[in-house]
Amino acid sequence: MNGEGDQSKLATMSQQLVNKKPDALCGIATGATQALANTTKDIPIMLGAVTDPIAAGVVKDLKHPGGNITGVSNVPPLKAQLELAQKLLPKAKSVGFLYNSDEVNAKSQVEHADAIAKKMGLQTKRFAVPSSNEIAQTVQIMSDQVDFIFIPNDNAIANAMPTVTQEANKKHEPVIVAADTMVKQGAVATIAPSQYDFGLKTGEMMADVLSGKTKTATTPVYVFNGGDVYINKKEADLNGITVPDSVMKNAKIVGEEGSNK
Amino acid sequence: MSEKEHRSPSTVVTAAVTAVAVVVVGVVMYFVGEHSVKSTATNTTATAQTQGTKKVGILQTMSHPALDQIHQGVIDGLKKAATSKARTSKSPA
Repeated sequence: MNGEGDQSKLATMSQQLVNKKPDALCGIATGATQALANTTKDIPIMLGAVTDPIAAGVVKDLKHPGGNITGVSNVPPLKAQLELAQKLLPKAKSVGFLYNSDEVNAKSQVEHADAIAKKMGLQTKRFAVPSSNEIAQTVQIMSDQVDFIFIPNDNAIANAMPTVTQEANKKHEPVIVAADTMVKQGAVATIAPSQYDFGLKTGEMMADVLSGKTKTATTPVYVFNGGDVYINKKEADLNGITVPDSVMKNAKIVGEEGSNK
Repeated sequence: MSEKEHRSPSTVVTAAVTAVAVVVVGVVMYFVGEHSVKSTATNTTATAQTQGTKKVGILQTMSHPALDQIHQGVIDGLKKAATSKARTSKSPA
C-alpha cells in the first residue's frame, strides 16, 4: 500500500469535516482516526474501532485518555481465536499470519498472535504483503507451507477477502480470521464481538458526549471482552472440518456473501 | 445483527430528542497498491428543525464489509440514544 496519496486524501477530508464545525467526529479504522486526530485537538473524536489506539498514537492511556479522543478499541480476542482454531483443527501444527506490512494495527496484532501461537505449540510464519497484487500468490504459497491461515483485523486483506477465499478454497486451506464479516466472506471461523456491535457501542458513547453526559478526557477507551463464535458451515465442510458439538452449540452459523463490492 | 448493505458514502441522520444528531459522513476508499484514490466525498448536511440539533462527522478509511458494519452500528447507536423519531436518509455522493 502506498500510503501517501491515501493519507493526504484522509487529511483533506478531515479538514473538510472540521470546517463544517461538527459537535463530534468519529474515525472508523486507524487511518481515518489518525487523520482526524491530526486535524483537531478541540472537537471530540470517537474511535470507531481502532485496534491499538496507543500504537496508532491517538491515545496515550486507555484508562485516562486526557484529551479530545476516546471510543472503542476493537482489539480482537487473539488467544480465544487461536484456541478456536485448535479445536477445529486439532491436527494443525503450523499457522501462517497474512497481513499488510503497512498497517500498524495489523502488525501489532500479529506480534501478539505469534507469541500466543508459539506458546500453544504451533509453528508460526509471518506473511506480510506489500500490496493487494501479491495477495493471491501469497495465499497459494501459504497453503503449501502452513496448516492454516490466520488473518487479523487488516483493511487491505479485508478488502481482498473474495480473493483470499478463492485461492484458499482451491487448496482446501482453512482460514481463521479476527472479524465476523470475514467469516461471511468465506473464512472458516472466528470468535469476536461483531463489527456491528463495535459500531453500536461507539455510537452510544458518542451520544453521551454530545449530550454532555460524559467527556472524552475522562471516559476510558472501551475494550470488549469475549465475543460470539461464528462458523461458516459451507467452508468448514469444504475443508473437511468436523465442528465439535461443544463449539457448534454456541456458534452463529453464517453463509457467504459473494462479493464485497 | 444487521445484514443491511451500507454502500452509500453519505449518510444523514436526523433525530429528534435530547442527543440529536445530524451526521456528516466522509468515506475515503483506497486500494492497496494503487496510487489512484477513489474518493467518494462526502459532506451532506441536513437540518433538523428540533432544538438542540447536533452535527457529527464520520470518516471511514475505506469501504469493506467489516468497516461498513461498524459504520452502520455507529449510526444505529446514535439513533438508539436519540430514542424515538430518528430517521436516516442516504444520499448519493
